[in-house]
Amino acid sequence: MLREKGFEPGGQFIWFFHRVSGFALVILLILHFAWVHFSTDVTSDGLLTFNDVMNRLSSPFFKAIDLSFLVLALAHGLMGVMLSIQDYIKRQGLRMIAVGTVWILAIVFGVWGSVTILTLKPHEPGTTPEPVRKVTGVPQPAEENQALWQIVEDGQ
Amino acid sequence: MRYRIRTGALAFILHRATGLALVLYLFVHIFSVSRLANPASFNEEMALYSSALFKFVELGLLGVVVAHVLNGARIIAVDFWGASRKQATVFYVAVGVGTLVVLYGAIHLLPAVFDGISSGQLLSPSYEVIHGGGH
Repeated sequence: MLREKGFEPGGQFIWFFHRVSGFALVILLILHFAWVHFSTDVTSDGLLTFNDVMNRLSSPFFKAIDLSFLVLALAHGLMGVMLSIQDYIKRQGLRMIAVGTVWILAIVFGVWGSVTILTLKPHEPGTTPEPVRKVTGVPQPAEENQALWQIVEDGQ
Repeated sequence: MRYRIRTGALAFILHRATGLALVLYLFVHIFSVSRLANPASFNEEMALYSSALFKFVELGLLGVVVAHVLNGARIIAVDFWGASRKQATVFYVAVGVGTLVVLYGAIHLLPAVFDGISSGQLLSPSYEVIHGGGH
């Protein structure tokens, strides 16, 4: 019933879209890792803060990339959940509840993520708290050298 | 089974399980990125993610992602390029590549995990966030 009305995915297009979106997500994930974990994270001071993240994510280019990442990931993932529901939940009432829940999750998290991405603004120096971060983990400096490990954000 | 290869049953179950885990991770990720609206809470969250326990969870996440991606590539190879007759070779190549990628991640993540275990501080951040200056 839900399938006929178009609330559940199925058919050749969904089969094809699942593979194409999966391939696209791998490309986006590689780019995500290159930008997030190898440019900001590693080549700066290795510590990810609000200012680092905000300056990158608020550019229109990253907003477009992140929006497509969000929509593709949600569509691909929740299509997979729908296929699992079709395989394991056979009772009609239970199936309707499950499919309805997936649609609600898709809308709630889609809107929530989109609002987050679209409302990001570039960091203006002096307008947000600039954190001072003291490294306490690996590598562990000697007690008397603790002060040398104080990493101070620019503008301090 | 939906796939032509019968020996892929284990891969099929693994793909389902890792896929569902990644959907749950996606929800958590959307939540954590939404906290960019509040600089202080975001910085504290990032500090928590630098702790030993979360580094270990990150390594697990890497394993789950790599398994799902490589099995997805195997599915595409089988469905589009008729690789079903060479599926044993495809499987071993995927396991080899996956092991290398997870090992690369382990080299970067495990030192912090071992440090946390030896010091008994699994949830304490590897750095302190002190809110000063700026305003």
